Amino acid sequence: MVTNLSISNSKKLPWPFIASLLLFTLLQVGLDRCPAFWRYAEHNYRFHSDDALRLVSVLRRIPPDASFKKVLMIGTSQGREGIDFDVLNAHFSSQNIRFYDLGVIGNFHPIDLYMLKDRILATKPDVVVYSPHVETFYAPYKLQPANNLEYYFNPNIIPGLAKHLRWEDYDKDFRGDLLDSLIGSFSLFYKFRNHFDSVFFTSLQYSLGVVKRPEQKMSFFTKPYDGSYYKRQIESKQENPRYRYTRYTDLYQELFTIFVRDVASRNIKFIVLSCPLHPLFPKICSPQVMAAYQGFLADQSRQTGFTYTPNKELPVFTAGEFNDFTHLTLPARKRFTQFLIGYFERELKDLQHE
Amino acid sequence: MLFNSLKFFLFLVPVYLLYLRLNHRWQNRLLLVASYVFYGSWDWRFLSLILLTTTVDYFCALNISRTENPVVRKRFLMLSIFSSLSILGFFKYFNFFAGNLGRLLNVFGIAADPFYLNIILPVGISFYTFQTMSYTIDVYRKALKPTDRFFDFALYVSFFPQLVAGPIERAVNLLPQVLKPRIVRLDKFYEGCFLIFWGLFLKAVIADNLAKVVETVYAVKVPPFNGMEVLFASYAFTFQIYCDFAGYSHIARGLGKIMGFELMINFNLPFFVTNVQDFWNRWHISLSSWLRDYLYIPLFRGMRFLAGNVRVYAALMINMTVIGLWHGAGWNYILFGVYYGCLLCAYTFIRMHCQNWIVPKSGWGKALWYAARVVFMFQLISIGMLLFRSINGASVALHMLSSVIFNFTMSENVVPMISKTVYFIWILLAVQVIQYRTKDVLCVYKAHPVWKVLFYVVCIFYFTVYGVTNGNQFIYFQF
Repeated sequence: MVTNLSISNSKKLPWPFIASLLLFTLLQVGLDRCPAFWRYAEHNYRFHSDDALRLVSVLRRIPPDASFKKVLMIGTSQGREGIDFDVLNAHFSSQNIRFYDLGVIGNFHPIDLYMLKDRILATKPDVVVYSPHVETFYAPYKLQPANNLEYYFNPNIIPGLAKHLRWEDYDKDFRGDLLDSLIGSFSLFYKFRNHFDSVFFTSLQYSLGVVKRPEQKMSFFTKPYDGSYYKRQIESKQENPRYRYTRYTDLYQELFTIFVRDVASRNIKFIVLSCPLHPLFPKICSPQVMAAYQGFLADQSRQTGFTYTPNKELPVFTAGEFNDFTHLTLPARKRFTQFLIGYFERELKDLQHE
Repeated sequence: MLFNSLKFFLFLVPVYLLYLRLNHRWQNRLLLVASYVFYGSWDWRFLSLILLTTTVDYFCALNISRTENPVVRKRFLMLSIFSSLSILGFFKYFNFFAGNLGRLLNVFGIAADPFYLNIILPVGISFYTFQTMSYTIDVYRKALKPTDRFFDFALYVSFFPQLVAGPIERAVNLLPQVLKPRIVRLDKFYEGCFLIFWGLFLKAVIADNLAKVVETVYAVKVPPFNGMEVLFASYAFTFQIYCDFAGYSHIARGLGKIMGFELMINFNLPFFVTNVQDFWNRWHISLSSWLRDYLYIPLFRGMRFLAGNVRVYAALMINMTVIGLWHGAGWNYILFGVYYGCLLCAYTFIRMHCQNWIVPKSGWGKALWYAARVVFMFQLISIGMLLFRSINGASVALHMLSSVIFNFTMSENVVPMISKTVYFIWILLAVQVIQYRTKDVLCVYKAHPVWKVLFYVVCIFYFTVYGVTNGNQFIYFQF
């Protein structure tokens, strides 16, 4: 073969391309450390679809050495949509306590909790409130777009995955995610590409006045489902149970235990707060699964000493106060928030006296 | 195995590294095996078709060259053309003609239950059959000496960078490059890499994102359509198909370059044209020039029985209808071809009869006149693309077209559609304006380093955030 591909001196290297890669990397590093960029992302995110991006932005904005007490509320869409944080913060501002909404759509499995652990602890919170759902522990991994390895990727998770899961889980659930996570570790834009595409594009549209900026939504649901929805869901879930033990359950329980232990070792108060469930919910979730889920949390609570509030300790919500099986209507949201004010008055009493 | 997939990358890297280590003879063998693996990755059963076409045309060409007897020569030419067209007709058009024949018989009251074949269309069949036909025709015309090296000829037919979507290479250009040792130089290697980069950008960033804009309108199968949405979706589709197909051609040329081949340019700034004839000189050049040389000119010469310009119009109409039909077995494609045939006839008529029109010859007037013609041509091209894209049938295409005239009203989707299209095509337009002004397709590659860095940063940003990485198929693979 006649070739002349030898690069005899550095002048022959594709310098413009190399320089552009370097520049692009520097740009990402710069933006990653720029609070204004994250404020911009948070300002332009779409409710529900961009929750993962919002969570990371909010987490970055929490001042570690603030003069006020910080309560981080992490968890599923139930917590995300069922609590009015403006009301909570308005009530507790006089007590120098601030609540941060770190809920996301989906289940916020302990994988995500574990991968974010260092970043959560770096904010030096006073209280961490976790709002799980039975599905958080008793379900396969990939149910919602916000439950992905790549957004909060931390290589420490790999041994856990290897220990509990099998090749078919990897192949079925997160083969692509792992590759994306590794690339995303080096590229901020790649990691949040499915969110930045709309953030950059829609904000440009808003800025140019091409499209009017809509009001930020508070809830994914606009109106409650009718009775036929519940009937269909009950029939389908009885045929094909959604909440069930999987190999992920062991992994989730182990990661949760590690998280709780590490939080406790830092003297951070940890609360596991259940969220309201529709009266028909027992029809789609077997009592055994529910008992196992609640039993695990209760055991952990006894062993580690964190506060666990199961569903039975919450106020009773009627069927009319739900949009679906798990999400409250806006009036019910207000009622639940009022309950939480009283709840946190009790639970954060120690904090107020510090 | 798509160019825009990880699988292709994993295929290419070892093949290329090995390629660089081998001598010419073994390079050709390697490329042949790689090409067959590449093609077989879609459906290995269709390898027999490509092998059959290769074998028949190889022997036909050799037999044509071995005799001066015109009858024998013609017989072998016919055999070659018949075998290629039979394969193409059987796999691509059988069901279409059977269905339409059945419908036609039903119109005349004859109950017919057409027989349909349960077959899938082999990828790239229209490309490689045209390529092999050009070989035997050129040998018949004595424009080319046939090769007696079967494996090298097989490589010419199946060369993987351009196998499934062109450019339809003539043997006169590609075969000598196969037969002679090639030189891979660093500058050509970089040029090739640039073409691959730009081609992938056109495909994965612009075409695949515009596809989402287009799909919102064209996925609707029943009227009424909003005319304004249809118009802007057609604009978006015009850019989408350009970026999809030109992107593929750039990648093919780039792959060729890094291996020491020079493949033909398939697109040459087609949006800067001022007339329809020029458009077809710059759009899918390898197909339009193929049909010009092997169909239009022979037709024109053969139709001496037609008087004056009628001969030109008839040849143009047949030629363009065949272009339409080449794209696919559907009435929308035929309508697409007929539409361009009519435009070409109209242009030919105007050119012959309206030469004395006063047009600005200099200054701003000339520039504005040029811009107006470019914009007008873009409208005509977009109408053609509307017909092309209407895969839900010719009647849907006509409904859509009529909505542009009779239901041209504003809707809330229009502004987001326009802004999304502009958001993606501005880089393409900027690059093409520079290419047009410098008359150099590789002007960006040769630009000042600062501009190059800026260009790469913008492209890498778009790639990272907007690049569609799930390996969407190229539109022209279906043809």
